[in-house]
Amino acid sequence: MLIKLVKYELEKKWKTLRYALLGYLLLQLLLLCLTRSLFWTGDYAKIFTQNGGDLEGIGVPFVLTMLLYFGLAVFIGLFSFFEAIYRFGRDLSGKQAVLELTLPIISWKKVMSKIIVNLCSNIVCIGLSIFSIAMFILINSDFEKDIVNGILNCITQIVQSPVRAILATVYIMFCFASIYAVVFCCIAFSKSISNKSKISIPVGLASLACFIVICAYIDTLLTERFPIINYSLLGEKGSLSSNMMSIIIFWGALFGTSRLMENKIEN
Amino acid sequence: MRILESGGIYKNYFKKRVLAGIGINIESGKIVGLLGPNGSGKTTFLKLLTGLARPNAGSIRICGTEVGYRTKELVSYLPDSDFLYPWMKVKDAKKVYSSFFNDFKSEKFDELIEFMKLDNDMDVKALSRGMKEKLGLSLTLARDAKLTILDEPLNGVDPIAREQILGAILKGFNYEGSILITSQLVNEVERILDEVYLLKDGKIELSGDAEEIRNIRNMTLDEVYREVFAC
Repeated sequence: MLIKLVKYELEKKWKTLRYALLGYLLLQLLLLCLTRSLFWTGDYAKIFTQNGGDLEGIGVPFVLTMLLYFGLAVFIGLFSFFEAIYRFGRDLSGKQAVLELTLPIISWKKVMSKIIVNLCSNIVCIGLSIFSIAMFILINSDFEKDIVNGILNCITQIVQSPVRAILATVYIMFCFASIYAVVFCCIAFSKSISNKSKISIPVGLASLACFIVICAYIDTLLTERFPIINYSLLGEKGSLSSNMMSIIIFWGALFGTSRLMENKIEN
Repeated sequence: MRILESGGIYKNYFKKRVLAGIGINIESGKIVGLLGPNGSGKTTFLKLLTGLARPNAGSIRICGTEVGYRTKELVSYLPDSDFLYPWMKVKDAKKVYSSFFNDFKSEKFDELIEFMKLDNDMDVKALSRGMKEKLGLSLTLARDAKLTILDEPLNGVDPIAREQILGAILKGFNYEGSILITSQLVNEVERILDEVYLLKDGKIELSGDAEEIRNIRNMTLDEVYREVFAC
């Protein structure tokens, strides 16, 4: 059933994001063409080299277009995260909440499927953001040899140490999943108190702030006083107690959200 | 077989009491009407049955199981508002239902949408209110659920569409289950009802077999309704 839910959530996500992604791609392409055809001169290629080049002679239109381009890239990177949070709130108390809440599936699976799909959409959006920034730099630097080499070096390093890359990816994904689980738990808590935005938004934000402060305090305490085992993995230091705490937070938030959806949230 | 067993149900929203100790029991093969004016607690009661709200006191069992995620498989619910995503087409809604509800019958759904003059490729956002109601009803009735709950299925629908909807309810009725229907259009729905519960300020004012009530009072249900809620 989890696979079915993931498919359903993927479809929902695609239908919601497709126009935003398409619009983003078209806009970036347009801005890239504009900068290159109207505002670009051969001297601008130096801006993107390691020593930075001479910035004084750059025209205002080029700077503005570049700022807009980079701003949009950052926006699309963050968009999927905030869209996921907004959508979860709507799924609990919006018009379609009836459909979501009456599906005969235990709630932790619903939450888990949303987390999985949101992680996928984060990968796509952040990937697009990085790709578009890389394209801007590459094209406007006239495919400067140093930049191309730098990018190739990065790729080579990742390929040469796959264990490190996989561990780093798993760690980052787990961090994102935990953030989603905690935020979803706070949203569910706020919606269990009231469906009215005036009440639920402050309650949600306050509970998130409390949660972060308490977790940070406990994590510091555990790492410093009761680490159980301190280790260094691929140059990164960590403690077993801190890792256990992260896992407890994730599963606690996931099942907490599920419990609130089953027993507290009303529509 | 008893499909719904409920008793002593109280529900408050903050200080406001919406349901005051009501209890409704439904046997299989019955179409039951829950009738009452706005604010009488009909929709709240239906939400308690679907698990979308929880009672402050009292018990609700569907086919012997306390309301929870397990009873969601037994209950097919048509809410009184839009519940489908605007990006959906009719066929997307069908896909969602057939994926998640084991009792959803695709052939029955196809028959119902044909009867309702809908098409699989229609966009949900382009449908009129009446057409959305028909689509929701087709999805709800295409399930062979033990308890089918229809909240105001005739609201905002023209008289010809009402006839179609009532026809579809009878056409889609599963005699091993029951239907609980709310409506303020008593004269329209009374011909399909086996039992009625008249709800006023969260309490049951009158209940019983529809035919018996008509015979004893020598009135139509619509007239009984007007008499009960006149003052």
